[in-house]
Amino acid sequence: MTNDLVIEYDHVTHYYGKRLIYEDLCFAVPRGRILGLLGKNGTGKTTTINILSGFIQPYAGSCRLLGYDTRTMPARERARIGLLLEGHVQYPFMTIAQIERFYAPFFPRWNKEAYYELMRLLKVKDYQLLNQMSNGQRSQVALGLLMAQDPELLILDDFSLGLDPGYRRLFVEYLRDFCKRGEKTVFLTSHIIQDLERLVDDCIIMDYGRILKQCPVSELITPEKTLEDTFIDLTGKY
Amino acid sequence: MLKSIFYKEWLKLRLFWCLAFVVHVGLVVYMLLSIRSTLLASGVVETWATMIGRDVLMVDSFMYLPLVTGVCIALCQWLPEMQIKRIRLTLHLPIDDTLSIGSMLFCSIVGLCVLFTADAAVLAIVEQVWLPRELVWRTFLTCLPWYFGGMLGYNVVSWCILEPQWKGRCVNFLIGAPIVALCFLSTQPACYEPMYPWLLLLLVVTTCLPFYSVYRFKLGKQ
Repeated sequence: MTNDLVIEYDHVTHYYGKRLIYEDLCFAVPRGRILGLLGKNGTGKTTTINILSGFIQPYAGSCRLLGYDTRTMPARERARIGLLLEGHVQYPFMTIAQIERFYAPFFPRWNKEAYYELMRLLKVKDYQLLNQMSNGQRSQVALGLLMAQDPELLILDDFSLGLDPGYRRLFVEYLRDFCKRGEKTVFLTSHIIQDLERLVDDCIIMDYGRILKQCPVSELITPEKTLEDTFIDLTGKY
Repeated sequence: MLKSIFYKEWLKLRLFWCLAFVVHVGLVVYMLLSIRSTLLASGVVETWATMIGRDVLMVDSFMYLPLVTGVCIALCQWLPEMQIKRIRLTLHLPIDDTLSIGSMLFCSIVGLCVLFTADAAVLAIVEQVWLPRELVWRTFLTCLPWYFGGMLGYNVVSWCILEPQWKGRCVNFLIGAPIVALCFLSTQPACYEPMYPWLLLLLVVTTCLPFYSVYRFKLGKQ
């Protein structure tokens, strides 16, 4: 594997107790690509995100981000990785301005303007608390914070969860522009397949314990078939 | 970066600290008024005789307040972090995990120390006006294990909440509760004097336990 690979998921096996989630799973994401991970519920998408983020240590195999093993990655290198947790988790007791002030000192490339530009679009006040905002607005706050962090690699866990179509579109469009401008590498999961069609370059379709398909998304879409059709063909309806 | 962590903890806990301050001030004032009214009603000699002869220092109402404060602060501080595993946000910051969790614990431990020291100082300063120095010192030694109980309560509850598995939380609680109970075995004034080095040791040991829970969280024991 070369240095131009931002994510190297190398022969990873993971169990929860005695239950095998997957065995010998391998994939890699080159710099500048947006990769979407698709799979039914329980196939191990969130497990993969958790292993990538260093919150779970795999039973076997290794996972490298930006050239570092996730188990031994120096803490300062985490500034290069943007992480969006499922449900756009953030601190609900902070206001728009407070959360920006909290994160800013941690990240050397912090871009305050990128955050406030998105907040202006949302028409929210600086003193508004996150727990008084809708799911959609909170997702934009989380996205704004990621943009201000300006990471090389973004890991997004089910970014469309709880968002209505309007906010999903805003999220996807803003994220796509941001990634194209800065040659970002993105690894994401979503349960809304149409969103992935508009956003990702490459796609991995997972089934229980294995990868069914890994290829550029353009190869999975034909005039007759959407990505969702291909996904159902590969994984079955239920 | 540490300043940012302190800032977050302040935003999260400021209301609780204000409330704790008001309750502590209220209870200390209540205790002082009780002592004052007893002195006025029974006379100085009679009151001193009761305090020395019958070991009644009139601070019993304060007994569980440090523990309640320690437990409440641990709940207010760590429940929001463990809810939907929000602690992952802290653990993903580009700062060593021990440093980030340690600074969060440090904030609350310092806060509790300040609060308990203020209680003891106000009590001692005002009591000195009415009571001999020996009785004031005896009152302080009587309250001291309760302060230890408050700190131990904070550490044990933090350890339980940060533990990622319910089974582990129950085990932690079963180990931690008797440790905290050690501080409330007797209300006999100053009877804990020989135990203070051991209580201090327990305090140091239990301060390390939340780090072990976070280590288990990062291992994926969820």
